[in-house]
Amino acid sequence: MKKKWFDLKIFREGFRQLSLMALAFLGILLLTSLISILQQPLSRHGISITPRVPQLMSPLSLQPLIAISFCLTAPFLTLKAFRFTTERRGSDFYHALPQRRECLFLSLLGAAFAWVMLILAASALVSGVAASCFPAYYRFSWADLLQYNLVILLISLYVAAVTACGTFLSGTVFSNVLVSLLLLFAPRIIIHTITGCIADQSFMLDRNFLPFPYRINLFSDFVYSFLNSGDSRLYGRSLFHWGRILYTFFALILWVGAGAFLARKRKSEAAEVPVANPRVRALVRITLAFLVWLIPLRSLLVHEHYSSFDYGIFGLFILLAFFGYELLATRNLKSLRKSLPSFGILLILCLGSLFFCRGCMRMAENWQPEAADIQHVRIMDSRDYYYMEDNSLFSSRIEETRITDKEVHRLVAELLKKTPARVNPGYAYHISAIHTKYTISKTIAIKSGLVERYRTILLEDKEMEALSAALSKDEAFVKAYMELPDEKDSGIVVESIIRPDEDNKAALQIYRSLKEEVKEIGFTEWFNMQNNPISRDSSASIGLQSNRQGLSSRASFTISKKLPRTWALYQQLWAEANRQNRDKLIGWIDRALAGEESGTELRIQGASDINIRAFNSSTGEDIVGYVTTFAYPDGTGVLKEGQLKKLRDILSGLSLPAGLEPEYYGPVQIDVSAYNNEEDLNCMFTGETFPEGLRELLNP
Amino acid sequence: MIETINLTKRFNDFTALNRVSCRIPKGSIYGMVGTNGAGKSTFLRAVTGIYRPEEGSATVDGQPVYENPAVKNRLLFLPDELFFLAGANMNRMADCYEAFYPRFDKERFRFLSENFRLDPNRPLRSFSKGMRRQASIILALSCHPDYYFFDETFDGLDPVMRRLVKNLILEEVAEREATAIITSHSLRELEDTCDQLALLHEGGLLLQSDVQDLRTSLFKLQLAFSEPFDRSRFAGIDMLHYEQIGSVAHLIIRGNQEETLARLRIMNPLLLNLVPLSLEEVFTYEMKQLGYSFEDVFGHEKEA
Repeated sequence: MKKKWFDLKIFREGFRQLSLMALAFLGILLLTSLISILQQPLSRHGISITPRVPQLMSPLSLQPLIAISFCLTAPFLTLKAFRFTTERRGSDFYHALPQRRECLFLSLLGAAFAWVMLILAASALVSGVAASCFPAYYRFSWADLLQYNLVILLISLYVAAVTACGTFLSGTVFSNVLVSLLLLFAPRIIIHTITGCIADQSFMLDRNFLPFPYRINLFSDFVYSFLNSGDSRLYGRSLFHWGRILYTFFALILWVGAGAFLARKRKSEAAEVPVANPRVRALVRITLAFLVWLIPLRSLLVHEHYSSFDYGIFGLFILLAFFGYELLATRNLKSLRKSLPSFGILLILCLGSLFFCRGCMRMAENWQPEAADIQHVRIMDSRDYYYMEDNSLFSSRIEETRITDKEVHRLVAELLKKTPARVNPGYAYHISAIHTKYTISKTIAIKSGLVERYRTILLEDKEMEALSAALSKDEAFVKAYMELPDEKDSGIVVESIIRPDEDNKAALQIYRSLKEEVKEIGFTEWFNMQNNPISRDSSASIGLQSNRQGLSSRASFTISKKLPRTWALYQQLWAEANRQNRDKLIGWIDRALAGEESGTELRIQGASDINIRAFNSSTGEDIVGYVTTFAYPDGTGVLKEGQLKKLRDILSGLSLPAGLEPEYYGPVQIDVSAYNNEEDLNCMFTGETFPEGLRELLNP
Repeated sequence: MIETINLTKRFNDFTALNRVSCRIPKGSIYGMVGTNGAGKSTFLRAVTGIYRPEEGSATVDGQPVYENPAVKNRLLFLPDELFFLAGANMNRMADCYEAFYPRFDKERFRFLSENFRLDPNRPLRSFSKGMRRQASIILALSCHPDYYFFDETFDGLDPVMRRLVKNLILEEVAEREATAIITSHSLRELEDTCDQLALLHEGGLLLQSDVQDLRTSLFKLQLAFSEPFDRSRFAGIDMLHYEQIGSVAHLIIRGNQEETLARLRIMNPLLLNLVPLSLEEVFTYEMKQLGYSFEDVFGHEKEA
């Protein structure tokens, strides 16, 4: 008789059994998505937030709680589908069914998979449709949303498959959860900590020193990104990485296969027994104790100073994890004696890991390829410049650029050889290890042979100049710097602090001018302008929002005087906008005065708040701090009619600067911001002296 | 036919079934008695393919059961601890059984539900223990399997329901030539229903026999003579038990009843009475022969 691997009737029954829980999860996802999307359009009717350019929505912004799909939905549905493994009556019922165990496993797992798929599909569809209803507020890509959800689906199925394996390795709900968590996280925590221990011993290494991505698993990468920074850029980067997608897909297949194997091998009497198999139990207790060992391991390797007492406490925790688990699982003191041999294995593993980390660090540090062996290098900019954080669009383009110029390779190989001697020994990963002479560090991905390795090099100023000069000859690198994104691209939004007009004309005009002028000034000037914070000699800037393949990124380009045309245009447009804002503010006050009725108190109709700050434009010292004139219902803090008239007269008499830069300001700068239910506006005034009338008005 | 050969099941160091060999003919009702922990449930689970035996084999019509859907399709195991889906009613459970058992008969399910006067739309959690037991029996009988395995099924049923269930099982056996294996810790529970009886003790099969054979294989006689006598007077007769109070002796004899009576009549006894033996007494003497005491195995039942 032909072996049956999947039964539609069991699948349907499993699907039905999971429906209540699945619909609850679907409800949560849909609700959070809708709230997140509707929040902005609805709030604009009540709270004053000025409409700006449409927000580029990453899939994560559209489905903010999508992570529950694999954090909660997939594991809980799987635990429910295989609930029978934890209770004897259910175990009897399901194991007596006229089906092979693999068929039962695959059909029920299929039911959990189907729900996860449905939930994600429904969530993506509803979020997408809802966001499409507000084109003035949101812009997003259906393709990105689809791809993102497919990747989340892959992660969710992976988690479901691992959880299913966990259920077939144990026999109570608690042990199901514990074993599943260990299967999901223990390998990642071990790899992550061990690589960290190796990398932290040397300044030159970072966690990517391994010849393969240590966060290749999408699930752990996502969780790591989330815990580490909550940075959506990281989600995007990892989620659309084909290597990671393929790895996770094959891992999913393997886990499903392993689950089917375990379902076949598992004894039905294991239900209600925490972990019946003594070998699995040994593996669990060794893993738990080894995870505890990783804490002192790191401190032993990087010379963090724990006291003997601290190490004693760690030792106790290791013993507690090892024997405590055994005692909990078996509730039999005799089993402790039986578990002693595996304690020996734990000791060997602990000592082995210590030597392994040391050895790996030495090997990695000694890896110094010749220039001729280097195929390409990539400059990992975002790792070195904190101020590049707001420039992720730009830095990610640079990081993706493979530099093949031989001179760059030669310099990198040379610097790689010099760097170990530039680091003070004994202080390995501490920043104090770096000699003050070498102020610049660069993390570089170096491809030599089949794999890429990441190393951090230390440079002097002269060496940096030489490297920049060499980089300027690399066509791909120059192109990455010089070719700014097309503003007509639907995945790009140009933004500026200048109040956007209907078509965002001002920002687009400045950006177009910038693009043209960048070409004219050439690579070196532009490269230095973007890389050297000191060269940012202007407070004018233009920003870009980008959203591609779930990767949200931004760029902020300083408009320096080295770009004279763009700089002048920026000042001109800014001054124009400032003037319009002033007129509008005066108009609000006039309207308020015209609507006067009470005679004693005046509510500022149309301008509920006005904030005024006056300060010395050269020293930045406050003349009058922030003053808020609120229109409280009881009338307190509200400017009286006379005061408002006075304020109008003073503001009308103040001069407006011809541009944003300090050179356009007199000794005194006065910033006024106001907002009402429709919009907010900011206006800057300048003068030779602070108008005393204003001081009296604000500080009566 | 169900056949087990040296069927052995261990749980770590504990042997729950120890080399159990038996044959259960098709179309029979096979009763298995034994105390709690004797191995009855383990036997059923091993025979229905829930447990994988450590040694030996269990076959149905010559085919192994474990991981054999074709065979398991013809079996239905009704355990002592009943399984119902959370929040389910009988209709929902019927749907569930229908999905899993291809022979499930909805019409029969409805018919039996009416007969048992159970509301199939009422949540099972609101049923009494006996009602839940009835519901599970209805579901099992609606599956039309060839082999039924009932584990302590009559527990919690009142006498009327017990009779009804027994009749339904008999009907299944008579009309469809189904086979039923029923376990119980009470011999009295099974003696009026089963064709065959087996006694399981500490994982081993102590004895198994046709009920009719059991009833006729042993008989009890009451004898008295005018002259003094003792046990030696009955030499050559297969006596399981001898007891003499004054001039009256009580004998439990195995063998042909007619031949033995004819042989004793020649001795001109003053009194020769054939006293009927209950199945329990038969078991007592048979077990004594095997070196076990009935009190040890069925202590509580005897006391009861």
